[in-house]
Amino acid sequence: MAPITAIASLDDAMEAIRVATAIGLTVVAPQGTVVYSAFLYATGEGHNVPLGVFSSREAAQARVSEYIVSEWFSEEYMPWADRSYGEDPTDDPDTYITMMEEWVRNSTPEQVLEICSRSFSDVGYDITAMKVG
Amino acid sequence: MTSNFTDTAASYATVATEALEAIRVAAALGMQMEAPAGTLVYDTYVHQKDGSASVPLGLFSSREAALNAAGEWILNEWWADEYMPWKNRCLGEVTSAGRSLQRVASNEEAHDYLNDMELWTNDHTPADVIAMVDDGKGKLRYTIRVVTIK
Repeated sequence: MAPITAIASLDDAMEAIRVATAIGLTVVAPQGTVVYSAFLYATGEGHNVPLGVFSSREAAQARVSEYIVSEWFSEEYMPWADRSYGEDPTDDPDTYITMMEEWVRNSTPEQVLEICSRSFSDVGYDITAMKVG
Repeated sequence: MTSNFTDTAASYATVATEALEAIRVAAALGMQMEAPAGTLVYDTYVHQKDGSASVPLGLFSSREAALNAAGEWILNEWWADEYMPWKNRCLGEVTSAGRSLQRVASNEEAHDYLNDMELWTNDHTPADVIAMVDDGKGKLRYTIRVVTIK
């Protein structure tokens, strides 16, 4: 990170704060700034998973996507793959999981979100912009 | 705004303070400023003692702002929601409704009780309410969580 010696622009200001937080200084977000709160929910179950507060909508979407892939898939699909193994000899869970991992690796977060929201109606997400009071 | 830079945390802190002020002013002027990753916010809730009926009050830039919001909400919103409709329901049917009103015998006493409550509300501040909550009084509590923006 390049050191900031003077605050000549708002970009400088953002960078200075990034540097300060990166070296461990405690910096509180200024009043009036905007953050993005994200959570995932299982449709119809009233169950939601808060995913935290993010500095940009893109960062929030990336976390939602990552959670769907790494946490939700592993909870929902991996046990299912384990259960299915042996019941249907043509359904190889390793192949299935590998294909899924490749698909995830080759997709953008936006594609993951779009495809998941179309394919799996039992999971949804919400990203809310909030102003710091 | 300028400052000399030396490779010390204190210098970083000075620059960061200037940066925070610049961002705060820009946001106050109506510019759409996003809070930088790594900064902190105070996530605030008011809830019943048993943790039920939690009401999120939002994210705040200081603990003081969060406490003030909690106190204001308890003083103005909760009482307005809980007591004023209850008051309207109870007046005229004193003997059959209301928790505290069951202890009074007449409409006149009920009016006195509710008037006292309104006077108390008008005479107190959010800080007074927070002090009462911190003393364990009342049936509401608040929670302030420090959250790091990712």
